[in-house]
Amino acid sequence: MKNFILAFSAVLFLISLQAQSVKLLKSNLVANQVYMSFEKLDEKNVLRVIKDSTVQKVDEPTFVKVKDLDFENGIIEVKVLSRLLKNAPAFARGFIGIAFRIDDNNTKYESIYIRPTNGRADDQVRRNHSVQYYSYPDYKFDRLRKETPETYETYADMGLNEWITMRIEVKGKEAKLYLNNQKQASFIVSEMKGSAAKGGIGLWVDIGTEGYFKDLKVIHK
Amino acid sequence: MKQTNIKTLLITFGLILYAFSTFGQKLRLKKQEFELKNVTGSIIKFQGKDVLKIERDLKAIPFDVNRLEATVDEPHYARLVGLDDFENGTIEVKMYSQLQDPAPYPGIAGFIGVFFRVQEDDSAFESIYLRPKVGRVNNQMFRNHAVQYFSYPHAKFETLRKNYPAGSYEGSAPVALNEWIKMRIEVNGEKAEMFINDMKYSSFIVDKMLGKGKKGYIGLYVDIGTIGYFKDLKVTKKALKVKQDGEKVEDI
Repeated sequence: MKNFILAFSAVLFLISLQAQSVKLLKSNLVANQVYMSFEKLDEKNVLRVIKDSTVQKVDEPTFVKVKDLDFENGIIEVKVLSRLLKNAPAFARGFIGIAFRIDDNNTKYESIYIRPTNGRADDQVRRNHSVQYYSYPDYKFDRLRKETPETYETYADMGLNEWITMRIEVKGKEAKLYLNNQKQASFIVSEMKGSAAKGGIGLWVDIGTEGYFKDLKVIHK
Repeated sequence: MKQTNIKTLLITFGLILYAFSTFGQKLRLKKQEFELKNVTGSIIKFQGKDVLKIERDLKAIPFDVNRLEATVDEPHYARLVGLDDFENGTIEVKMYSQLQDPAPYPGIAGFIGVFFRVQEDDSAFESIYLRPKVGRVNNQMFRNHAVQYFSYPHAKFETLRKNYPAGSYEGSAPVALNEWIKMRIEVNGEKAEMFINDMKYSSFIVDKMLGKGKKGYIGLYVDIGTIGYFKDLKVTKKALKVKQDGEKVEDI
């Protein structure tokens, strides 16, 4: 019995150290202003997300939210792949990313997303808009770009139709984005704008994106 | 009176010597010869390898913090001797940037990079350089200025920042001080792409360069506060590649 308890404790301890894998199953997820479906891509089960086209505005709570998850600080990691829908408008960029610290009613949250079509564009200005932070509802991309240029976005190499590992490390007001398991952060937000200290996690897309997600992991710290 | 004359003579002699030492000093690194232009330098052993070490000579071209743009990004560099007609092709070099201590000016950032299409008299050239100090700092806006393009003499960094949308000629890149950085620039017509450390895709692109000089010399550049080390410079001239219609469809 003693051995059993020891072993059990050890297992518990190991689990607590490791990333908590969040299964992307229908029972575990709620679509908010998006269509979600479960598909096979390269023989893997993946979550497909498309924005509800009746939502006109951008940088809105258009995500699939994980049920019963309360995240404050730690690590969120997920693999994303973005394609453009056939009817995507000219300004579509393959917008795909993560929302976090989402409040219960989806009225406020933080987000980091990417624009994969910009990563290898011939125009350096577009490249410099490959990664974006925003805080809903008060600080969307256009306001941040106008009021604090070059501070909440940056360049990183990326493309459409390829799996990109996004890992966000959140600590208080700071968030760092690591792409494709690189050692150094590709992007740093040193002062997030939102007032919500904790909340849910969402897998986010915007207009024109056919977004795929897999291998979501969350570590609380 | 006589003594004053001797003094004048000595000073003049000293100045001439100094001028010789600053302008036109040549250094040989393996098969390549470099002419130092407004930089001091030497060939040294660094981490067991022969490298070219250069620092900007602030006596040759004085720095003035109140006229920042006018007194930086000037022709202070090591010119590769014997290649006066680089137009299109690839320039690849390994560079390592250290900061001088004490810093000659608080705004130093390890400025280091490459000049190309340099005119014989240094009157015009193109350049891409790095600010390795800000490559991984905790401030995203600084990070976004880790790479800089400029075209001498009319389009230096401040002019570009003022006259073009934010980020038109600057970007971020995975660079830092005190480590070897491999920079490769692919020049084709009006376009230049910069690759860092053999990454598959370019870290920085200038779609339309601003210089009028179509060909010229290649140079290794440092600016104020940098101790720059260079090795393994490789230059490959190529013919202009004309983009075929439909070869690369720029997405929407």
